[in-house]
Amino acid sequence: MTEPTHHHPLAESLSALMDDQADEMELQRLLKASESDAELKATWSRYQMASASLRRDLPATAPSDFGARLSAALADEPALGAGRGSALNRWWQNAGRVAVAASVAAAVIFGVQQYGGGSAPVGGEAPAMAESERSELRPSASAPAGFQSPALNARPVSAQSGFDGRSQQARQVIFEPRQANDQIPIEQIRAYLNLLIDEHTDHASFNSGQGMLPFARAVVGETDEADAQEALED
Amino acid sequence: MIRVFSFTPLILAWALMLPQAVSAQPETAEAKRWLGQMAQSNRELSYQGLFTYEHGIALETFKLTRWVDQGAQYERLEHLSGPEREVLRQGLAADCQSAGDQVRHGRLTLSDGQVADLGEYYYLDMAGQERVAGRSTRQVQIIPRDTYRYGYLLDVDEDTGLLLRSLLIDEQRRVLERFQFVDIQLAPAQAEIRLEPRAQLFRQANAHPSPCNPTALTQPDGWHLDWLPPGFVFSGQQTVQDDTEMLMYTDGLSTFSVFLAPADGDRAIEGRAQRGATNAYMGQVAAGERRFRVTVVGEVPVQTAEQVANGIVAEGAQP
Repeated sequence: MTEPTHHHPLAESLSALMDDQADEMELQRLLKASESDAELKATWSRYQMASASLRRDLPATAPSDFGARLSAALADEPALGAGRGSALNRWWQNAGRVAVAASVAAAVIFGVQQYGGGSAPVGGEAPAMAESERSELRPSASAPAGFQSPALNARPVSAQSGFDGRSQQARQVIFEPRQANDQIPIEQIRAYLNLLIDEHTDHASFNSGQGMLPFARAVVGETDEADAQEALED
Repeated sequence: MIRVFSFTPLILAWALMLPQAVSAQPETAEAKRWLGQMAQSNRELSYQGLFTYEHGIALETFKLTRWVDQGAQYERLEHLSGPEREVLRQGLAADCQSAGDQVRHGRLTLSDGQVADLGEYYYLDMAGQERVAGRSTRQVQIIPRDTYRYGYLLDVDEDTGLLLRSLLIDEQRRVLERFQFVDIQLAPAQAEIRLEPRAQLFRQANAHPSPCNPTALTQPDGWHLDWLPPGFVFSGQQTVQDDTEMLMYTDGLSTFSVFLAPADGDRAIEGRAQRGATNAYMGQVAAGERRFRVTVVGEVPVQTAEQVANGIVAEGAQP
């Protein structure tokens, strides 16, 4: 990232973020500032696009014309049988996007977590960036050290040792209120939902035919019992 | 980035095999057979295996030990990464078939006299052979016929019928999570006679949250769902966390739970939530003078959870 942005006070933080060097504080500052600072937002967006196009040049990702070639190949396929066609077609249409989408999913979730994790407003309406821009927070999926902040892993278990907090982070409940409301007790909602999801896991394992595998989803011991009892009773 | 590389070939395999599967309808029956075999092997076989679980950007590793002793199942699932944690489950009869099993086998009669059929809600097909954990597998692909549930790509061991790999796939064909064995040993030496927790953090799972071997559909007690996604059946009800009613639903593969907790005087909170591949919707429902918090949780699209939550009414309440 070499574009000079010396005139903006947060330029350095933004550069750091693009280089995966930003810490939690800087990220929060950027997120907050970008809600009201159009210039910063535009710069950020520009950086993201530049960064994204760079990434697309990486040989390991799908070639950019892959989708087009697959679509062309699909167009040559004989029509699917009546009655089974529509749903399958829907599945097919997205085929070319799959490889990308699978990777983007993580980034979208990650972006939302950043909003939900700190003091910034919670939920899908609050973030100032459009979803596509959040998706472009993709660099973060390649394990930037600065994003593994303790603040996002305040659960008791995570504090035990210096292990890679990413798995814990990925298990964090993301809550998106129907109406944006800063007063929502987000930690309590998370604790409460963790309890319910774990209860649900017993059922998911028993009734899905997949044996014990669904229990890998449970967050054993990560919900503080006291927290849970207090959950939402304010 | 690892995630991108690892999923790509699989998804392509899934995509490219589809037309072949479409032209071969009889494979639906074979897919059903493999699903049946899978569930049976999961109940009856003893084994120890290592598997990975990927979701979002995370990869975690687990060791699963299970054995069947005098007709009862014992299972220990250990987290091999992160803090020491484990899930223990014990005492479930090896011949106990859940409502989900019964649906997959076409043994559950619905209220209209029809028999629940998995094939009505999913396209089921065989997608060829694969190799997982050093073993040959048959791939079963399960594509939802509507948008109320997710799809699956399952690799079932050719010899034993054990599920060795499982992908959960959303309507945009994104892989939400992946379980994959890397090594599995059948009939290990039964060193673990007792199932005492070894890790400080553990969970004793409820071995059968809903009844064994149901043959007819029952209805929940105290509550009624105005809307159910087609194919989902009520599979049981229990009280959890002291005062919360839990209603369980399954279509044979996908599951969701409805939780109803007294919420008099509590703040009304409404919203969607997600943790990994699990979605939830939280809202409120009135029952006469009382208010309840309703939370629908499951590995189903969040729209499904929301629609279910919005259709819950207390029994006897005027609509």
